[in-house]
Amino acid sequence: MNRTRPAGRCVALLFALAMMLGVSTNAAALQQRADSATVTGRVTSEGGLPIASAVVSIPGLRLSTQTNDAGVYRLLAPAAAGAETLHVTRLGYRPANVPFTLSTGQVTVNAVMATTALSLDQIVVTGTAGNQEAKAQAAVVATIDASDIVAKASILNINELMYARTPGVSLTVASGASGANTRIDIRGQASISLSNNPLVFIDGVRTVSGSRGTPGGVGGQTLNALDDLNPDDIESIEIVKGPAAATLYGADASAGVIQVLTKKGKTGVHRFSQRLTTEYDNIDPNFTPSTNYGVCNTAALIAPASKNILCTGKALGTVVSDNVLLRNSVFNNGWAGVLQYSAQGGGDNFGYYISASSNNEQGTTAGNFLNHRTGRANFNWVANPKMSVDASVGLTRADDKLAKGDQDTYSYMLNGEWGQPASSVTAGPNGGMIGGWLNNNISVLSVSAITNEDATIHATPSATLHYAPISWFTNRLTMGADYTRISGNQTYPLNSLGWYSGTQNTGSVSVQETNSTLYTVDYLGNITQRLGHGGWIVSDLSFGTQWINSVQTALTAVGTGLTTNASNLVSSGTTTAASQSYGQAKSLGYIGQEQIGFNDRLFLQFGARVDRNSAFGSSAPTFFLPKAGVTYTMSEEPAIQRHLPSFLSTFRVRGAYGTTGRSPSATAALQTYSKSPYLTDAGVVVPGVSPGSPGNPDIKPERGVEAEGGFDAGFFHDRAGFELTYFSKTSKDLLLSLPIAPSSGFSSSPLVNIGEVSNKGLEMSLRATPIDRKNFTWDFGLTTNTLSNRIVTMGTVTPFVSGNNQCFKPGVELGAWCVSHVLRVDTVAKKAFVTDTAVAVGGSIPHYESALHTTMTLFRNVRLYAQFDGKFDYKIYNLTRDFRDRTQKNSAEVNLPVGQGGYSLDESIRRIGPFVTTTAGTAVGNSLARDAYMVSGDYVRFRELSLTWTLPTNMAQRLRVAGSSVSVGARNLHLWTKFDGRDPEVSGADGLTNQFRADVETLPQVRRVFARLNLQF
Amino acid sequence: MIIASRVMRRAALATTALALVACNMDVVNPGVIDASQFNPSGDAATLSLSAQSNFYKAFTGSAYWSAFFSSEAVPGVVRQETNDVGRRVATSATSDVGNAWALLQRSLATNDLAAATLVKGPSAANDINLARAYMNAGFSLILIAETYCQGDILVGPPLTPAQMLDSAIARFKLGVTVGAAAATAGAVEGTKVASASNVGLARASLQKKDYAGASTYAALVPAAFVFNAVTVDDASNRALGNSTYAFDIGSNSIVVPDAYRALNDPRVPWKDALKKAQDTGLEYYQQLKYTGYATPMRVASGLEASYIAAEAQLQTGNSAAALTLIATRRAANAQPAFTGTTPAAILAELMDQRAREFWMEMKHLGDWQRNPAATPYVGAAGSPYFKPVQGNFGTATCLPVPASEIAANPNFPKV
Repeated sequence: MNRTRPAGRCVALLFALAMMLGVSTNAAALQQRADSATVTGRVTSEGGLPIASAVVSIPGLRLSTQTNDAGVYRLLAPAAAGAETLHVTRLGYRPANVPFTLSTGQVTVNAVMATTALSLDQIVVTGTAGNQEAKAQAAVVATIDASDIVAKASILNINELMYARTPGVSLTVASGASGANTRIDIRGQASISLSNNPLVFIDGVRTVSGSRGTPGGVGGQTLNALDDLNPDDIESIEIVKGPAAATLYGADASAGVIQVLTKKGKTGVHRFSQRLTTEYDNIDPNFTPSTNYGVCNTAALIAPASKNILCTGKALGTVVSDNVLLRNSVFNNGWAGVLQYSAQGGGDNFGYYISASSNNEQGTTAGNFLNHRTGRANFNWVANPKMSVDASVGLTRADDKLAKGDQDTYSYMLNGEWGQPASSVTAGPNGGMIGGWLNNNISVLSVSAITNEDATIHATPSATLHYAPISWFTNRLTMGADYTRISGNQTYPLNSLGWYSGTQNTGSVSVQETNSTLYTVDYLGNITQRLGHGGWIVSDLSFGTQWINSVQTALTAVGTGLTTNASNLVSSGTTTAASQSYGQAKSLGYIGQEQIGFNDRLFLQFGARVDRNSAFGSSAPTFFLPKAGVTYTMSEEPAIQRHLPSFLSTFRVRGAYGTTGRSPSATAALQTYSKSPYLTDAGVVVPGVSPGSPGNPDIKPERGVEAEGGFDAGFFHDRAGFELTYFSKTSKDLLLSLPIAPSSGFSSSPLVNIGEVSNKGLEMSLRATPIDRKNFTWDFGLTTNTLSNRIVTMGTVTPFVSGNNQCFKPGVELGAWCVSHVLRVDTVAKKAFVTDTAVAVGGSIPHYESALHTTMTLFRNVRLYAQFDGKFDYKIYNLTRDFRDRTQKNSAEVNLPVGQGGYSLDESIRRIGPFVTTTAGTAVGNSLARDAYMVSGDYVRFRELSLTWTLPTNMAQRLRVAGSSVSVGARNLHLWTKFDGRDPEVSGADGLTNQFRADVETLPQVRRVFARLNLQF
Repeated sequence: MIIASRVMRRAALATTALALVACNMDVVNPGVIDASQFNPSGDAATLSLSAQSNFYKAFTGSAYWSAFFSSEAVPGVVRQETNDVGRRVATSATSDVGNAWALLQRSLATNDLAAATLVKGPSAANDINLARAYMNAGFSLILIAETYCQGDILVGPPLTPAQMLDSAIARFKLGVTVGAAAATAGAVEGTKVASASNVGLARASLQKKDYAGASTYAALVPAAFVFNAVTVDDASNRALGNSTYAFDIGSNSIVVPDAYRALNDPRVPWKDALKKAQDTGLEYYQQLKYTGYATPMRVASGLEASYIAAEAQLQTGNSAAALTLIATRRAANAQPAFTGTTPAAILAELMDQRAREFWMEMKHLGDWQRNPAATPYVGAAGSPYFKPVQGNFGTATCLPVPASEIAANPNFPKV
């Protein structure tokens, strides 16, 4: 097989180069340690709070380390006496520089850092050509201080780490099941046909992200590939929100870029610090299943001999009820146990970070269990003053079990809440009740007997070489890979009780072996030159190339008809079937950028990337992606500074323009036939073909064009900071699946570049530390964003309404709900009059999102943290209520009198009908008349609350530990919402269209209460 | 040493650049059948046989939609769109309206496209692949004409059911001609294709109320002739199985209505599965006509031809054939003798026998459109639907063309 050779050849060659470069280092250049000095001290805030995870360095000696939870650091330095400067940085604080004299023995150097609500000095590595200070970056790159959040909240996965932390970054959880997928939308959704998932990089290497399915499916629920990452390994997360900043990531980055930066070792520390963390979470289902109601409406039901025990002996018309899920204790408290170990250290010219973790999580239903074990080793080596190498490898073994959920035929929720108590509850042994499920043969036993398991091995090796042959010329070469191997298994056991339908009941085994490989090679060169008198002009010329090769394979096999459940291989089945898929895509981009800085406060930036991608059509030209930006820190300009009011300490304006893209699938350009085997009269299956897709040789990527502008303002010595950004993103050449008339004979639609979608919005962020006293500190952050989304044009594609009642037409929000809108209810004629055609009744994308997080620190060691967040102005389809009201007719509202919770006549007709068009009086089916079930999803959630006590330094010393902290808290404490279902946040069915938000018997988000102990040695 | 190190570094960087250039952009995707690798002319026979299987899929996959719409069966599913079809209130925007349409149109298009290629071949006059393509296209057209209020051909303008039937007749005539020539040339299948095409001609003619034509074509069909959609129980190729069975067995989805159960007729086999249908409201009275993926579904037969002939003659004042057929079929199925004498009563009885005979074979809807008053077991407009909570039956007598066709076919007027 030669199909892997090109990739393999490239990677092998480039890794060989890394080895060559490593071998060529001059060993003689390595510094040897003689007598040593120990520099130690404590880093605190102005109020005296210990600052953890601050990076402490002595630039002159190329030494650096990090503070522990008590703010204490320790550096071992060569004892060359002399003046040195201790440089301390930490996100959220102004950099501190403390001069000191180095001498043999122990030197104590403490540092006090001033809080800053603006972080213009912070180094940003994402969305820039080379590392640069945030103040030189014209487009917004948001940074999440992962280590700080992990320290104070219960964070079990990376998605929780990003949840409601940054304006414009919206996360939606598919359900409350443990391990359920989370969708990430950055500055709204823009693509109809392609993924709206952002690209994810780990330390510069592309990694898999998005949903991860299980063979056979479990009803709209999938796992999430990012859950393979251990949040404790993450130093920070940088989020590039849109094309203005994502240009450098090429023709696939239109939905934004997320860069995960892992923790690193520190060179020169000559010490070995360890951290051990253990956490226990109690997981509460956080809801009560709905009770089913029914009417004893036939003589057979109430007859003494009736098996339907709820109705036996009752009067005709009696309303009976049952809560089958509660009766069977289907949902119970789950738990999570986390054990993490990490060690960090370094020598003269190397540093390392290693970690291992184990996370076991039992969801709230049987059959939902996660077991994740992760390991990471990061090694950095300063070969000589000109060259350094960072190498890392992350390993994850994840064994995940998902229970059947949502709309799956065997979902607990669907079967439990769609049951008919009047006719299906019968007497069980010992006077109990059995039945009551939607499907007569369903029971807790039958559902829990179905297994859905994914065993994942995920490895992410990478190496980065930094080489600066001369001081003004730096080079960075990053090579890495992402290997994911998933073995999925879904089994329906053989049974004699008719638990399952059709052949599933004879025992069925589905296995799927999925392999995904991503190779990244990224080179970036940078030439810096100082020009003008005193070097007041700085020119940074960057250039580079990025090559990504992606290969996905899947092999699926199904065996049905088992002889025994003990023999449950696919080959044990009476009938077997197999299928295979293979997909490959490559992209190659060349980057160039010139940035000119004036007096370190005015920066102009111009750049471009040109891309080729194997998915582009043969006629499509090379993709050209320009960018430009300007940023000006006006408060540093003396001529302006004197005119600024005294409370305004920092003021920067910025504007950026950029383009990027979103590539189609690898074979989208091709005209294809589809496999269409035929039968001979003798019943023999013979290979055959029928027309597949007409293809599109002119296909090219979607083009995201974005302009953004805004300002950053710091007040009262940057104790308070305010950031405002307006963005306008237009996705042009939108790839639309050109609907093919069924009468054409083609079975699938080609993609064509004809649509345009607009996303506009404001993002605001306010951070402040109003009080910073010795024994009390209070800081808070408030973020909010608006989003306006609409389809501008669909070219020649006729507007359409999808099968999910979502419409796609110009002038309307992407995927807005389109149904027959109820205009009036006639309680005399007992009819609801609706619009003649389906009309848009609201969008499914929140138009406003906001989050408030606050931290109060008492007596330096006690920290109270809370977060509230909300989404507003959007609608959710409450399919659960729709089906319970109108199809199953088993809700309280349709069975009980008005005074006891039943619908009024008006409300009943509005929801249940009958529905007729206003003009012609034509009957309208329930599938279009869903107006009453498209309901507001507005909510505010009390997301996080935690209390952390950090052991005082003297106590820690007595206990012979370097530091310790204890945290207790909770997640998802309360929900305020207009939604008439259980949880407006869940998306219900992430296998459906991108914009779909529906409660489809979806589990609400769970409530977690946690306790955590953190020890540092 | 230092010089060597420099040389090494520079060589490495240069080779890096070369390596990146060498990483070509060629990819392989063996999961795709690239059209450029396929020869439509050389592989036309394969296209024709695949198109025939497309017809089989369309027929077995459309039969239950026709059955739901004409009250031959009740949707046992909870899905609202399916119930809106059964209730006859579905509109173009109701997604389930497009299910049968997509199958039938793909069958029509792929058979027409195969025919268009084969007709240019050197042996077109007696090519069995060509005859088969004509026949399958003809049946696809009839089924569209009897199910939908309008039709079209290969993204063409809208056609009335009568125009669709005319198109079917044109193809069936070619099917008869080429099929017979193929039989003469030694293709055993040729006779079957010719007979099936004659049944198709008779059926289309009857639907057009061309009674003379219907009688003439029906008379050409041997009494014992049967043309089935062939199906197979192959886990690897479920699409080639009986789709009506597959739809039913998957989730207790097809419920036999009271009226048909009450017939107690062996031609309408069913059983009480002693459990609820998927929607839990209806008892699951399971159809037993199609009991496996491999159960074939009858497309055309000598028996159908005799019914067509009897109805055509009855409509022209000759009831003898109808009475004879009724007597034969009642006797064969343990029914007492028929005593009706008026033309209306005879027609009603003939339609009743047809309803039993061809239950769930996609003929009842055409019967009802042709003889609305005489065709039994169809839920009356305004009467309660099988699930009263859903409301009453609507007034539609055919399914609307789905929005998917209207939107994507430039020749269809947009509302």
